[in-house]
Amino acid sequence: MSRPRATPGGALFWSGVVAGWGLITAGVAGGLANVTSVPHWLAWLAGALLVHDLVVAPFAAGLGGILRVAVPGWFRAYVQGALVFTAIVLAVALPVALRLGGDPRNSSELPVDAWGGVVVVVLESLLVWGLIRSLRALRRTLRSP
Amino acid sequence: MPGRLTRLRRFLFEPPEAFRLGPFREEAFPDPVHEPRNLERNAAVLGIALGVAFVVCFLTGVLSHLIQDPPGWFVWPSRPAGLYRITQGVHVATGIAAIPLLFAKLWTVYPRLWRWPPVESVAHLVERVSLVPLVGGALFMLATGLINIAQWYPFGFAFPGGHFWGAWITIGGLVVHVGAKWATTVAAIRRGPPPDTVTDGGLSRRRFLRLAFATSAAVTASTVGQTVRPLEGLAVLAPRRPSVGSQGLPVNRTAHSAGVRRTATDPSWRLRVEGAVRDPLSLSLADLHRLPQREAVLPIACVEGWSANARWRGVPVRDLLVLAGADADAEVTVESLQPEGAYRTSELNRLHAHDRDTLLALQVNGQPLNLDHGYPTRLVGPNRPGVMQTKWVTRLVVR
Repeated sequence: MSRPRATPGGALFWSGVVAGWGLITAGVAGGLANVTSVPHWLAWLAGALLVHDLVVAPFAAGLGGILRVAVPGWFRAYVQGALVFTAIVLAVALPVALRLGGDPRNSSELPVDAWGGVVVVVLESLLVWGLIRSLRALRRTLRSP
Repeated sequence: MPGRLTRLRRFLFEPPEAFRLGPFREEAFPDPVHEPRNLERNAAVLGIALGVAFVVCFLTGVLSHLIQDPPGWFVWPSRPAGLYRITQGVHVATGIAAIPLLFAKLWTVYPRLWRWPPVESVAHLVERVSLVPLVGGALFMLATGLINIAQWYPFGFAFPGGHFWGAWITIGGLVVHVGAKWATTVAAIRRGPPPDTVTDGGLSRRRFLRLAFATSAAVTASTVGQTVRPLEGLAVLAPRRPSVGSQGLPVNRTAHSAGVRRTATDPSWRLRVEGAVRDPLSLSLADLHRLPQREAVLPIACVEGWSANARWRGVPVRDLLVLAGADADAEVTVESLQPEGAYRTSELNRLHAHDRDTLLALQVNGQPLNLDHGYPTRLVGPNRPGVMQTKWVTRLVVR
């Protein structure tokens, strides 16, 4: 099978452009007319993109470069996997863990220790991963002649 | 003039090789996941998963918006009682599940941000420009949604409107992207996975993909217990747990933060039923207790994704409407003692107003309502967002 061209085209693409930009225009127009602080809204929209593309991703690329030099090849995948997993679980937990929201007088809010939760999630996942690896190794052993 | 145009076109679409620096270099991204065939395969798989996730989030989010701010043509039914609990639970859980997948997808295609030449044609330029609303919108939606469920509001704009209109921008970007990538995605899936070889260590293509989905499963499992009661014990990263709160039920807004502590405990409090009625009512708490009571097990389903069932007891709204002589298809505005706020009133359409289980509750889980749960009385009904289960009710305005 020949590879499709990287450059898009055709009826499907141009239909998508028309429909998609119609929705984007509706979203921007609706936001400009209805969002309570448009400059803040636009700053968050653009900021999310810029922070990812110019801070988070270059940081990940730089860290990857350091790992390529500092960690032996046979072990690198484990270090990369552990770092990626923990970083994303931390990112998801951060708003709750920092306790910056909510009402401190509300006894039902934030009832969990999210920092401890991150440790629990990482350890539980490590356990599940270890179990899966062990089961696979056992299956390979049983299948081998 | 044509010569200039040709030169300009060549400069834009075929810029000089000397400009190729830093991340624009050929070998700037040497990871196995960034090898062309690995990149295409993982981008296709992650793209499909994210496409499904964002469409689910978009549809459930728009539905929630319609329920809270209904146009004339939209009538949200009162049954099944737990439907909103499911749609909003799915909305938040899918958004959280999408976070690791989005990071994985963006990392997979990150080298393409620095591709050389940056654009190859007008169509390619349009496609790349369309990535700005898609990627910016997707990151914005997941980041603001995640921060909002922790009830943290650092945005500078009101979350509901910002999130809602951001969703239209994101889904528009997604529509363009689907049109642009349909052929390459189908081809990558049909080709099947390339051999998973790693020459120099590091995460292979398949391991990277598994890691992305495993992380997605882990963050979902550790938060979804805020609405799926059997998984409550696993909800170590969720902002709420269904059983934690006064009277065994979480509270979203306390009486103190609503500014109703004095007015809600004032002995002169009365419930007034007014508007399009034959006999306006003014009832004390004792009067309400003397009326026929009904019990119903109903969920409080918060827009922020947590939900919890409780056993409520109180006076059916439809009985009050009959007592006041309202029409059989009357609709009602429910007003709270809250002096201000977007949710100080809520609307009961004709289906909700006349449902047998739409109550002005006086008890929860066998105890008199406490202040934080809406004493002296609160609205609770089937299939309604938590923000529309108005607390500290003082007036029903019938239309």
